[in-house]
Amino acid sequence: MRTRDYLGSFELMVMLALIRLGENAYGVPISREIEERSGREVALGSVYATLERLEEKGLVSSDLGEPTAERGGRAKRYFRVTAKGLREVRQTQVALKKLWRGLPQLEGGTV
Amino acid sequence: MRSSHPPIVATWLLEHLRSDKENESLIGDLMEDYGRGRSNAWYWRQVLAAIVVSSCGEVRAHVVIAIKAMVTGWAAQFMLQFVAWGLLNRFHLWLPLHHMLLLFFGYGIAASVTWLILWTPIWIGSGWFVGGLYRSRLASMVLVFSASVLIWKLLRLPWTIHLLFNAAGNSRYLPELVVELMGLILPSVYIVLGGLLAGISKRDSSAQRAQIMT
Repeated sequence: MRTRDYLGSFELMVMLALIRLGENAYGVPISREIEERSGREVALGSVYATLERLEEKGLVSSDLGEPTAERGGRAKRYFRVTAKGLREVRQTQVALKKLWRGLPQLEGGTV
Repeated sequence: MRSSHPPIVATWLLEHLRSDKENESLIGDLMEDYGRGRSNAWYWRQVLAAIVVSSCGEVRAHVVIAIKAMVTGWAAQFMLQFVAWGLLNRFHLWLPLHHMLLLFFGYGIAASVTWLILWTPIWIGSGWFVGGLYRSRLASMVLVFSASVLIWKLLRLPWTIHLLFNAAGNSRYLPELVVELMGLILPSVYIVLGGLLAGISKRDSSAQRAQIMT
């Protein structure tokens, strides 16, 4: 059997936020997206640590944007999911779906 | 009232204690989000979380270096302690100073001041030493040393709690409690301060280098 690393839960959240945001994915909208959908405050430091890890694995790539005054002259870093990253998310989704199936304890709940 | 600028000290700490390549973008993101109505408390929480998350990641990735930094810090602390005691004994300074303070201010002040005089340079010095020696991973290595000291100091917590109860029942024990609390908390704070000093001198020397290059 092939052994491989699956995405962790927070890594998966970040990847899904990136896919959802498309071209406009940088720190602030990524953390807002996760906060709004999960209902929990997210530390931007954790988002960046995760993005750096995903970039090292080749699942995400990034580019620097233009510096703006409201950011104290600091540039935005835009992130996007690579083809390898997209494949990884799909494989995680398939694995999770298989694990989810046939669990009566997890059916019908709202939270 | 909330200022339009985020807390300067927090930003400064983030600039000096987090050394990842994405640091500038992270600070920019925090400033942008703060500008959209986030509170000072939110900003501080984000800054502290960013420093801790980054340092923990670095320690996990470089366990051996972290252990070396801890051992180096403790060794530096013992060495500085040895030198400080040697100097105080050599020039017969310790007892006259302590007695003078005791005479004029009483036990509480005398004990606190002598503690500060002796231990402030020792702990700041050991933090500075670790920060200077592990410059490329300054924050994480200084924080790991600081955490090791805090854990060591927390072993005295039962005694501190005992003193706390004593002081609650009788104010005579209050000075002893103050000195105990200083010994518990301040060493870790001083180590971080020492590390920050090493970070500042590092930035200054980098700036000087950049100036020379141009």
